Amino acid sequence: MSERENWSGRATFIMAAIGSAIGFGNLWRFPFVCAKNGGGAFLIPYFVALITAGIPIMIIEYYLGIKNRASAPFSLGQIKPVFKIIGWLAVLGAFTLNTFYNAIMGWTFVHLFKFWTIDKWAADIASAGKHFEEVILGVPFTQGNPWNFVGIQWPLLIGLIVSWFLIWWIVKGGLNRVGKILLYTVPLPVIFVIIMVIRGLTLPGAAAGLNFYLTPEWGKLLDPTVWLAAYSQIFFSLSICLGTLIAYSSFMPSDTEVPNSANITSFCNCAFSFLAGFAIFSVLGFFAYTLNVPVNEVAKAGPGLTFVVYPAALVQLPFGVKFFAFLFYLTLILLGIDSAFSLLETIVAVIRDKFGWTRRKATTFVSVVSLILGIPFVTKAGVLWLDIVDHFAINYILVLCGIFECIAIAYFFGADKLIKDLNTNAEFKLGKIFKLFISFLAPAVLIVIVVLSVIKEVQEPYEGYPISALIVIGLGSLVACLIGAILLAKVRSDKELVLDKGETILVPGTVEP
Amino acid sequence: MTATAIVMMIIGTVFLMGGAIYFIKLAYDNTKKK
Repeated sequence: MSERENWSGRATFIMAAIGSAIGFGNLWRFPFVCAKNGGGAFLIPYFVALITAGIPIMIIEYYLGIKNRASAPFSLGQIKPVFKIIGWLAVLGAFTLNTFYNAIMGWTFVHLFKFWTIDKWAADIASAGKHFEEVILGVPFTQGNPWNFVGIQWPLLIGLIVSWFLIWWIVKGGLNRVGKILLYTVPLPVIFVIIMVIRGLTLPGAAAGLNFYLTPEWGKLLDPTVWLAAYSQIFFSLSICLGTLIAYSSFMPSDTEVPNSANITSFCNCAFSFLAGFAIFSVLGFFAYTLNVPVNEVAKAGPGLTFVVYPAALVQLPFGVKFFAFLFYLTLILLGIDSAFSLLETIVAVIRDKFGWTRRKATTFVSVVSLILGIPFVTKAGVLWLDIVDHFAINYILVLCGIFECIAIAYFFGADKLIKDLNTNAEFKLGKIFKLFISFLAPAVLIVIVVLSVIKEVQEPYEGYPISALIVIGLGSLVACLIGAILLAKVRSDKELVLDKGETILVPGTVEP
Repeated sequence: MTATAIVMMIIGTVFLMGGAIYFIKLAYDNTKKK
């Protein structure tokens, strides 16, 4: 096997990790989770979750990748071979996520291509909603039944192909090309969001939007669901537990500083989310002002925000409607693309470690297979499939991998050993409290999240979908990933990466006291 | 804007953006030292 590639430096590696973490969710999820769960008061559980779970798990993942210089299954397998299954589960989660993440990129490309006519299709919320649901997704034709495919939405298929072609081209070019692309895809969205914030804050009604976003409801701090929402938000927004950060950090030398690299990545990600809230809510405040309704009547999260409410709000701007529409969709593309190619890189890295393929062959194979598997997501029932697969497969895989990564490191490798090793060259020294976070607090919170979610699944079918669809599409994709992970961990390949136990610090007992 | 919303805006900005800048500076100073 050829020698492992390296990032051009630590700054590029951190930028890649930030690019992977910052995605659509930072713009369309965080501000609403914050507003819904106590406004400004939500920042307190959010900070606690960041410090007690987000950063510690990120440190674990960086450590695994940097010390082993191998992808997730091989790095986790160094602790105990059975943990290879967790590594494969994370990678299959990344694979599944990437099949529909690019479909969302496809929606965004279609909107970007149509920015010039935004004043026609988003003249008001009703027309924007009709345009998104009927013209773009075609979902009303399925009558809410995921089995009723009806047909392919051709513009979305073209968007999907464009997205896959772009990320295939980027990843095929190796870390050198990825590094060059990151110079644009990481800073530009920040600059664009700052422009949107400035524009938003100068609009009438912006203050009402920001009050809705930030006014604290202190009573909410006593509500345990608010704390769970904070942990979930941190957990799902940092790109952890998908094997991505392990793959990215495996391209760094084994003496790379870990704790402060994780601090930089996490804080930049969360600071961006916080900033994005100002861009979103100032404009929604203005929109509520023009319609003369309270802000909560126009506030909507998820795709409904980016493809319905926000464009309808932009059309009301006194000037620069088309410019801000273009800027907004371009920002979304830039936010999404580095997350999408980080997911592809995760799978390519593991395939190369497993089968010894060249980068070009692995990238082309994964891209073509994922593109084909992504076609159901661009049919008229695609958004329903996307919702079910995301809810079942991705959410549960992430949380399960998080729990087992903490257990593997804390109880099978040794938290003390980890802290001692990390502190040898740390810019930010870890204390004993870090041990409490990874051995007890983070896994305990994640277990509570799983148990409460399972109870809720049993009590009421998710979003009222037919049970057959939830079992076959949702549970089916989760079980398929689990079986796939077990098989891939068991089956050996002739060209599989073999880590010499003497070469990796991760073998228990090899850290000098 | 309400006073409490302004206070939360300041807290969020100081902790998240201040934190990001502080850790980047830490890494920068360390790299410069080497």
